[in-house]
Amino acid sequence: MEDQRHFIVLICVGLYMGICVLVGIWSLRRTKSTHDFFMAGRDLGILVTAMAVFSSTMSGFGFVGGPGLVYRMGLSSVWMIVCSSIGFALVYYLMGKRIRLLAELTNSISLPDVVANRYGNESSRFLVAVAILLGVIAYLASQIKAMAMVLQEILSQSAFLGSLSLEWCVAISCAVLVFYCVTGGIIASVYTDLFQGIVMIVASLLVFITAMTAVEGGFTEMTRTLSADDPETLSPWGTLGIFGCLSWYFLFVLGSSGQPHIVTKLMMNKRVSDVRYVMPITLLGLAFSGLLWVGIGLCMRTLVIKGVHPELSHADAAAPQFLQTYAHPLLSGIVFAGLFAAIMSTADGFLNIGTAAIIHDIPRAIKGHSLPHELLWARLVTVFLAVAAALFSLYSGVDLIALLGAFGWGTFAAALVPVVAIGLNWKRATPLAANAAITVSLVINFTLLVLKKGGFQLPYRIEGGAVALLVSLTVFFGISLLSKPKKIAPEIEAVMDF
Amino acid sequence: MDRAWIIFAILISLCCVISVMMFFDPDDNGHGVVHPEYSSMQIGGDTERHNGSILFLGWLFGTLQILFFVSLLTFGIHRDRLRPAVFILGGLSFLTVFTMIIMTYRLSLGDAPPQITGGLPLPSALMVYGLAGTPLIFAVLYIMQFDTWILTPEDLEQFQSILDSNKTTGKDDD
Repeated sequence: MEDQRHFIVLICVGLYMGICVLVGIWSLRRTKSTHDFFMAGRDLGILVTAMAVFSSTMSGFGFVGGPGLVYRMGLSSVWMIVCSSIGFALVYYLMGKRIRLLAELTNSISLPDVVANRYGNESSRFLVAVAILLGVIAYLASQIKAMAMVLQEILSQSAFLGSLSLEWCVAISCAVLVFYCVTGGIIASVYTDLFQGIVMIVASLLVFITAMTAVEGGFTEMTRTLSADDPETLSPWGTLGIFGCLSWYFLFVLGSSGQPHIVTKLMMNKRVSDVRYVMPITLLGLAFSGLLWVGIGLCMRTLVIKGVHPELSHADAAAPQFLQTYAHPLLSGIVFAGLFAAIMSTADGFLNIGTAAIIHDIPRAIKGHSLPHELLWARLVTVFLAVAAALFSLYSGVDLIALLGAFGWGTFAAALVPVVAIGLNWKRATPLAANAAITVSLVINFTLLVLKKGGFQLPYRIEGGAVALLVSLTVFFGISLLSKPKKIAPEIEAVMDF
Repeated sequence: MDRAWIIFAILISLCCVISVMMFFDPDDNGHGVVHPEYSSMQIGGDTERHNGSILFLGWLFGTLQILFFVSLLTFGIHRDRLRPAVFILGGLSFLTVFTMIIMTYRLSLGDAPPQITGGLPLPSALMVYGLAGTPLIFAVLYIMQFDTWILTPEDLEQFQSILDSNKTTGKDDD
């Protein structure tokens, strides 16, 4: 079977993409209106919503970047995983019922819709839509590039397709993504998320077991080897240090509540009370995928230090090399499919919210109404957005993409956590505070992006996004507390009282 | 005192801690250096991170974060249904685990072999199992108390009546 490894991987990835296309065709018949395209008719069950939230959270970064960070820095990046329990408790306490009720009450089809109705302010809608669009372009470009690079890595082993260029790999992977997003909108997105989430959980469990058996002596031997090489690697702060780790913790705990591709999924469930069951399934999925993150990273670091495996050319090669060398060919195929699933399930969410910002929210904020023939425009703009992000990912340099990926996460967190997660629960929050918080967060994130490109680092590797989030929260609370509260529409105020 | 003012005070304190850190001048190897044999890996730099004041400020930074997160959780619950004692107890457990991570890390510094618990050195085991596990208290409370704290049947009835009244007045024709 070993000599058929590349063929098996190709079959698994091909099967996975085929299923995504089939889901797209199936969803086409269920997508009859803009409401279906963006909100899935607000008709999702418990399992579909839970898996959509989980798989949108776990991007390609979790499957490739995460193990790479553990390989490079030891346990530092585990702070991004252990934050999930309190992070998702916050997501559900603050957003679980509120965003769903407000969305139904105001018939909203996007996050900026909810924000505009809550604050009674079109500038807030515009600023939220702009923040979403900036974050989406940055994130989508990095996801598309990651997807193409993985495909190229898989095809490079094939005699027939080995010389396929990165451009072709971008075109192939984008074609599948765009197909199911255009035909089925968010319905296709969430049902592929369900399938993708299951693939990711199965893949994570199997990989963890494989990683634990790849080193002779198992986990105990890994701990012994790594501690002997450098005790800090297995300390709670890894090699990064306490402030770098805790700033990641701050950003990732709160950041989940500000990720639009995650929180919009909570607007789509059929019954609002279902969120109590959605929460544990989401947490379970994240716990399983955390096993892959830690398992591969520690295993590869141990194998390299013990001299069993040659040193990696770069840390992000940890997961692909582990799969190609130590995993059973069938498992390797499942995990590579899982890797595509992780990337695509996040990218489809971005395409959907980015399209809503362009055709629905920005025109509404400027002209007072959305575009005519919204469904047709939604499909056209989905293609346009994917092509624009693909071109951007191809012709803007790897470093820039990495920086923009970080910019995307920080932008969403700093701009949207105060305005959405807190503002929807706190009647005292004012439109002025919301607009100021978004503006400040964008300015700080952009400034830090430019400075980082020039080699600037905050002392002790404090994460720039965490600083932007902290300042934006402080501005939001400060202005709201010091300014006169604004009147809220009575029915919205009633829902905020629940 | 209003919850919002308490949260604002915590935020200001967090800003102060970060501002203080901006004035520290860390050594180049205070946050990890390239592994002497493997350039794709890092190792922990010198012992600056073990410095008492950095550890104390780190503890303060983490403690304020935990206070902030737990205070924020209460924003999702109506004031009349809030049981402060439950959140204070949950928050204290969370805080205790975090403080134990700092303390056991401080005690583990030196040449003695690490105490392994659950496959990891004790401070890391507390981080992986304790810090990830303790907030599950809040998740369990959310699931168990959903009908009484988060969304009661009366809330749902009232919501339905608002929707019905909107339909009558044509407010939802968007």
